[in-house]
Amino acid sequence: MTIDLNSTTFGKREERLGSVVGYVGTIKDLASQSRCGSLKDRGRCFSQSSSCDAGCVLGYISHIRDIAIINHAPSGCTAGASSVLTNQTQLASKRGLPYNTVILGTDMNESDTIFGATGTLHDTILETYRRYKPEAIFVTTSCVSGIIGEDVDSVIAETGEELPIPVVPIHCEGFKSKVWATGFDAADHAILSRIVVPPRKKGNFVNFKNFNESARDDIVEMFRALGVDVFMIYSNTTLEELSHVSEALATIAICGTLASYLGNGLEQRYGVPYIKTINPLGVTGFETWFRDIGRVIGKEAEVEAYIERERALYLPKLEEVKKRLRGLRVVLGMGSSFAFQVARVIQELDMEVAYIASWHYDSRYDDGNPPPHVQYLAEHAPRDFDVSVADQQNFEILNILNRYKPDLYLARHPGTTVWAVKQGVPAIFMADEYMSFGYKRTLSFAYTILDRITNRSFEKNLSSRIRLPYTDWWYRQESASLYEEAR
Amino acid sequence: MNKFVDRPRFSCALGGALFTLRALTRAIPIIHASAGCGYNLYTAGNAGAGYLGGGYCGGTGWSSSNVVEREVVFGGSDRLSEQIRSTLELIDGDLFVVVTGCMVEMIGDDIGSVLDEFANEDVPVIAVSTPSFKGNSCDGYDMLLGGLFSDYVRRDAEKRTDTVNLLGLVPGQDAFYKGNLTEIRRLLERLGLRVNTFFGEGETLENLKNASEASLNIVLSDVYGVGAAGVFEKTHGTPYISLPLPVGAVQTSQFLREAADALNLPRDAVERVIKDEEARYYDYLERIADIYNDVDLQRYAVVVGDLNYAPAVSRFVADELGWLPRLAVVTDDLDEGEIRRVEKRFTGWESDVSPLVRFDTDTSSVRRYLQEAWRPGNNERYYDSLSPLFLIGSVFERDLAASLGVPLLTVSFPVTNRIVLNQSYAGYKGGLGLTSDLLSTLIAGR
Ligand code: SF4
Repeated sequence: MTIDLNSTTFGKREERLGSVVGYVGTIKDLASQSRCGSLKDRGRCFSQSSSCDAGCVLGYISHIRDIAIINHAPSGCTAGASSVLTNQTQLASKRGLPYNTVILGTDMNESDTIFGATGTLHDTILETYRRYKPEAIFVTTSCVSGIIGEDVDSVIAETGEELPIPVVPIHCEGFKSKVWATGFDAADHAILSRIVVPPRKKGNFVNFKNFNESARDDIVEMFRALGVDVFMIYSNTTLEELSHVSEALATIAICGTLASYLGNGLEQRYGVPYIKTINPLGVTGFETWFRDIGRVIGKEAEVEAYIERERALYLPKLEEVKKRLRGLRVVLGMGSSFAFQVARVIQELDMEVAYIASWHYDSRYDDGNPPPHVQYLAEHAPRDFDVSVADQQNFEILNILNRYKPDLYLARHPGTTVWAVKQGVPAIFMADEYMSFGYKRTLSFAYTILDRITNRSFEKNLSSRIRLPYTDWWYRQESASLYEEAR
Repeated sequence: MNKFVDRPRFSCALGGALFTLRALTRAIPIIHASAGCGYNLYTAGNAGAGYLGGGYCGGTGWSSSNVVEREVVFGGSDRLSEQIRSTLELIDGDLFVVVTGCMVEMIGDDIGSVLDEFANEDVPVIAVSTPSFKGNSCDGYDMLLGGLFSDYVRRDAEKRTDTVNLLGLVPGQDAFYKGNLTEIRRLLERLGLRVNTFFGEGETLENLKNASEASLNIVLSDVYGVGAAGVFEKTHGTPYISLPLPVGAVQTSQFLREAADALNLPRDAVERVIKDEEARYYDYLERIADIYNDVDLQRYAVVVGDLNYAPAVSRFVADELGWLPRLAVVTDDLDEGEIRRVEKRFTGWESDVSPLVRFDTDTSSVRRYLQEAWRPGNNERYYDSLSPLFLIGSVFERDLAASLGVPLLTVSFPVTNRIVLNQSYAGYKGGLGLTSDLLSTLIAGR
């Protein structure tokens, strides 16, 4: 699907990528349905709080340094802003960089919901510029601004003329998309359409889209071995730097769910190749991905040399630790890409994937092709296994854990592993997207798993003394029994 | 411009209601809102409250109707009805409370008629309207309690002269609510009273259901809980008094005397309890006399906090530690009447000192008030400096503390840099706890 950069809005994932939030089946079925485009979404008659586009945008765009974000919303939508900023400030200080991004809310009140708040928004934009002199102001929308039909675009166009910096709308009303990862696209759309400028010249760098750049030093090193620089986005970038992503040799990413919009958008608009292979988690993932990068930027020999060096260093140790992990059964609950990529690593480490619960699932990416990691897993899994798309629904996860009784639960997104632990299942919250990236981190991931299952006292004691909220009736049902028929 | 909140110290009404329900054993919220609201509010509230956690069914466990575009266009009543029905089947609870987000309030769902479908269930299902555009988390506490008082608390109870309810500490907004309530309850029980705090250690929904037996509601705040106490008085005929949150011996003894007077308890019995509590208290406090004097632990103080904590903590450091509070910033958004009530709490202290008091929601203003409270020098050649200074506030004061090079203790929301379990700052126990926390910060390098 072509990405349209002339509009302030863009298609949500359900429409663009055939994304679903309810599915139950097996890995082979999911792969084949993705290929034929036959996947249908299923709703639920019970649901629990999860995340929204707006929250996703605030958390992601705030990685950029020295901008202002104005959340045009009632106060509650902005409540998480201070913890987001704390996180980003710490990421910047790790690199010794100043970080002055602010998040403000217009705190819409009752009269705003009746009479509109474009006046407040206008004043807030001007006052924000006066106080903070940011490099740009991004205005994010909310359920409430969406429902009252606030003409945010016109206010922004108006104030944009009065101010010497870009003032950019990001449309991310929480109720619009069932897939909160649409927020990543909302942020990318704003950057692509309003910040990125046409290339002045070709640069000698690749764009690397990620979250928290914890593996930055190793990655810089890795690409230095190829003779190119790496530009990691959006964490700790400035707007000026971001505006030149169009000059890159290629765009690569830690996660296809995160990067589909920006990667494909840059490819379509500026011809910057976007690497679409499985991603660099585990050994196979890393090598497939790195070789493809080498091919695209013409550095095959350097890539092979690097791989050879690293293999010699780490593969023997990996073989050793695999012996101690063999046969452990693992349930995974993660986003549309990580769930299947980490599952591949689990199999590589000789553990068994008992079940995958993907939060949502994109049945294709913006290039029109089904996600390669699911195809890969379906082809290489030793046996077909059960998969669901569980929309971060805690009741489903606990039901699944109760049924499959794994040795370990792996999840991304805070607030999910805690429930496994309360139910007595050891769990690892894989907050760091580089956990299991490349050889070295795959090895340390293996050690982390060993550590985790070595002392199970915390979850054992806790789970035997507290009560969980679900009825016995629920634990007797199938995890997907509250799905509605496919529409 | 009228509002410009750069770092919110409160979440919204829905957030306040959710954390209040989080604190109420076996009460199950059903959120009627979009998918993100519950989780976003949990994330902010959990960290801000010293990591209170999701508890029995909070965070990703909260039942939520997750309305999408279809409901916004066609109404969300059917979805809500379906969600309540499935929640009753899935979640084991003793009381189910529908709370609403802004968007469903705006689409105008008729929640009353949805609830009629559930009138004959074995467990009560009630609804409280909590749109976030109608107030902050403290208002949400009042809305929620108001709803529970009128729709859940028994109407036919006989009044008991020995029973009181405690209101005014907002769970989560007050990170120490549970320790505080437990301590105040302990003290009132020593006076021979039966006390419902609803959220204290070991309390159940029975305490709430039978709260109408109380002959007095004691609101430990000048604002929070006052609305709910008004609803209580109207529905159950129980009057209320507002007393400030007592921190330390001086304030707690005064609190006990005032509470006892309001209940016509015999004075000598009360004095006996006070005497005993103070003896225990000063036995501990005496310990610090040596170090206090050996290394001079007297400090100037700046206190930034909500209307419960700002006066109580300022007064505590003045009246009991002999410190000199120079500035107190109350961070609530208040009307004139409320401001006057809170201002009164900064007067009549035993120590006879009084800080400059400012009311402001804007974190960045604190620095400006500090200059107002203490104009360094005024071009004089010799002058006092505002040093050594101690800052007591929230994590939002961290930058200010760092730039002034002074220590900071976080007591007021958000308290993201501490793990809060059963600590209390209220009562005698709380005064000792606060002393220990403040002075430990000062000697941490030893
Ligand atoms: S109101 Fe909408 S935008 Fe705001 S937190 Fe809730 S779901 Fe997100």
